[in-house]
Amino acid sequence: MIPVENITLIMDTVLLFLLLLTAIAVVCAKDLIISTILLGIFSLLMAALYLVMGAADVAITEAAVGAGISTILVLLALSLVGHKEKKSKGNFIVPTIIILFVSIGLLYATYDMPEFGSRYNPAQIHVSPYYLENGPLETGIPNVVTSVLASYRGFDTFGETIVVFTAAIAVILLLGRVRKKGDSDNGK
Amino acid sequence: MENDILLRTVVKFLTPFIFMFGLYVQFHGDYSPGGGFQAGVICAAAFIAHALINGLSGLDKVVSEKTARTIACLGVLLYGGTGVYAMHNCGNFLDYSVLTHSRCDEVASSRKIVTNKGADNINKTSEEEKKALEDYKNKLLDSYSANKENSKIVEIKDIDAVHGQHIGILLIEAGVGLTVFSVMILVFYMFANRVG
Repeated sequence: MIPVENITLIMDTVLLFLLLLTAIAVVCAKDLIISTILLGIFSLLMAALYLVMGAADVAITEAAVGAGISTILVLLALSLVGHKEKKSKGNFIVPTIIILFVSIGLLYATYDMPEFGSRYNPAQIHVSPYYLENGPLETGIPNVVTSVLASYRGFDTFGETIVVFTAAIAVILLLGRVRKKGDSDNGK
Repeated sequence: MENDILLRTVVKFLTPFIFMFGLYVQFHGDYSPGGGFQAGVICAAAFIAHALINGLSGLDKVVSEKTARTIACLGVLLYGGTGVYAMHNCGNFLDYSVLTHSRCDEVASSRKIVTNKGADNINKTSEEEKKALEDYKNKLLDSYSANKENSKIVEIKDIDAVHGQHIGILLIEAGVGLTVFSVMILVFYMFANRVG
């Protein structure tokens, strides 16, 4: 019998390894359709990882938005612009150096991060204890995530909804032009 | 894709289940993971799957572009309207606690010198109402009895506020769901119209 902590560790390792593989495959794929599908798989793996870490709400969002809707939208966009990657010319030295430096910087930065999952992290000692203790009692809702999002942070969620709404308006303005016959500069 | 019998059959079979799951995520978001945003996306996915099989004309018969635009606006209005209604009941913007039980009497009486009559009015609750409140309180406490042992505070102080919170969260989640759902459909419409 394997202890529970080890199972979580094994799952984390396998999922992260698969994530790495998928990410490399996305970069290497020449056909953009394949890249898109791989990105969908990437999102699904991320969703599984969130679930393992106990963030079920985020997992649902990632699975529905990342793996579902955005894949369809990117595929639709690809059918507009073509799915063959252009051969890029020029040297790769400068970008490689920049990427190396950024990676090293990010890796260095991780040493300054609070310990993973520790209860004494800044995120856990500010308002979270209050929400966890009083959320269900003050809002009557057992799911703390919903009570925080909808009630304590209702104003933020309002802003988020308006952002989504504004995005739709922008897309309608950009792409929703009615095409007329004889309209020569319709972008096609 | 429209002529593939396998895809047609599978999608036709799955669409209602995806939609039902979306509604579940919407209305069960208080108790399990989920909420308006996720529900809107899942429901939109059901409709987009329908569109992929039956073409844009198929989607147009269910949700036309104009309907989607209207629903998107209605969702934001529902959210904002809930906030404004809270202000109407003498609370802050989006303060759901006052949604079902207006705080205006309290505010008015605290401004005036509290006369005996006013104080009586505030405290006047019939026995039946008290009993109903007590029942509701117990029911709420049972619904998260798992938390009960860990929590230091077991007493719900303001049952009216909790009732208002319930209604408010339901309304604004519905608003978010409607907006996200129709925005996804609209974005799909825009892209698909271009593809032709």
